[in-house]
Amino acid sequence: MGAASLTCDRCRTRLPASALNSEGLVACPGCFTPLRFVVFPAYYRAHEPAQTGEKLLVEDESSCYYHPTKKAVVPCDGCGRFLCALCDVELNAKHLCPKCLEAGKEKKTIESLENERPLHDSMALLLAVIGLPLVFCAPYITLFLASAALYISIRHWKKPVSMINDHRGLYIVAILLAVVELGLALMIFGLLIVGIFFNP
Amino acid sequence: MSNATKYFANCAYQPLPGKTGRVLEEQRLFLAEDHLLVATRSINRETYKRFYLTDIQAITIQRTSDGVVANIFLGVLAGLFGVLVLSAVLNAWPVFVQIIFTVVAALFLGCTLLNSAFGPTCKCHILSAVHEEPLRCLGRLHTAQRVVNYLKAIIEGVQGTAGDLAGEGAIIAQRVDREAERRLLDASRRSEEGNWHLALFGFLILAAITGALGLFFRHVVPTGAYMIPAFIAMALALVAVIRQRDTDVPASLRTITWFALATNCAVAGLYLYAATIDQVAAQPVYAEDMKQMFGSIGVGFTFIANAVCAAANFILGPLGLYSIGLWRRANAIRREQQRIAPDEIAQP
Repeated sequence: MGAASLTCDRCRTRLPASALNSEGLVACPGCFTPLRFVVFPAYYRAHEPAQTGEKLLVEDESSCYYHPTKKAVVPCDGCGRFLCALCDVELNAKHLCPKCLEAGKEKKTIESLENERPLHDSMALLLAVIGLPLVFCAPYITLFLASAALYISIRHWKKPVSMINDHRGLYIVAILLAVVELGLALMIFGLLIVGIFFNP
Repeated sequence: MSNATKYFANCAYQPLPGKTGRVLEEQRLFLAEDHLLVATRSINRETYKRFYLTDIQAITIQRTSDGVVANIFLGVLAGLFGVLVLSAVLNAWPVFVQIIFTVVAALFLGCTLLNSAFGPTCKCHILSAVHEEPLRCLGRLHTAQRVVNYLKAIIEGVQGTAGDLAGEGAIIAQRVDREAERRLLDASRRSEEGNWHLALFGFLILAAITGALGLFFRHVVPTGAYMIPAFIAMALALVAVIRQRDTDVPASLRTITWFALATNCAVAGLYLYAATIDQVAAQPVYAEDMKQMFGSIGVGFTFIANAVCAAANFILGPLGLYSIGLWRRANAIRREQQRIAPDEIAQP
């Protein structure tokens, strides 16, 4: 793809070599849009052909667990099974078989395969923040929202939070807010009950 | 151990500058020891895309005009509400109306200033061997340049430089289009012929002459003869201002064009204000009778406005034409030099 991709996004003109790796913006030769293309050596590097696995020549040689006719080159770091060059997947300096890789992705034990995380802490905080202004006008909604925020915070406390902000600060803020809201809402309900039943 | 590796020994992800301006979705770029992480955060979910430093083939930046368009849009809205504030103050409208208009005008003006302060906009992409990902978080040119310069050093630290590969003989031979190279060198900035500017200054002079005539002959013919070239000049000024961006148009000519647009727009805006909002606010019955409304503009006001506009056009028109003459002469000399020695210019 490389060569075809280094084209102006607007007019699809292929950029000449002198336009690449400029320090500042240069004009596209086709449409004169100012642009800058920073190209790295990986762009020029020829792709290595994929390994398909070497066939067994001698009966005594260890064979791949998944391909009995192919020569084993490395054991899986996850399950210990012998793997041929075709089955060997190198990830984070570890050799894994496809099954361990799949299991790692499903169980989320390999962080570098994780591409999505639910943000329970943000959700709990959002519920608590929405509930705050409703304390005085609709305390029953606040009661529900604060309880939900508290439940989410406690239920998911041990689960991993965001990959980039690995702390539980939002949970703590959400819990504090929810507790305050619950206290206020209950107090308002208490005053209402007192007002209804004990007012002459 | 490389410098980058030492630096990131204690932290998993280092945030890089730039983020998207969306309310419900935020994209940010993070740098880890061996990869770039593009994290997109919504209310309850965070998605990640990783680009390993060894696999990144290119990063592209392309300037866009989104910022200019947003500025024009917000500026017009701020101006409109500014006129309403002025009208509200002059005609003693209720205080809460004045406050509301002032707040809204200030809000739009603030957004315009903020947008201008952030600088020009751009589109940024990251390319690997198998896909191309837009980096929406690098939407401002200055931020994108800063981040790309920083990443360039780190990625070259991992991959080496293109020069290293040339030594190993691994570079795939690229066909270099000499004609495109020459065009690129000639047009490090886009070449503009200046025909729109020429037409603009021609119409400015015409508007100045007819405007001056209108000062002495109060009749519908000279007024119409003035209005038509003035409006054409305004439209031409707008086109010229847009076309002169990122071109080789000299700074003096750009300034003259901007002044021409500003003075004509200001006078047109004053007329509009005087003929509509001000008059209707003073006499609501005018809203039903446009002829009466336009006829109610004071003679003194039209005389001063016409005089100022004619004077400005008399100065700007010839000045612009003179500037275009100088610029075209310089361009002709440059082209003559290129014709004599094209090969020398084609060499980088």
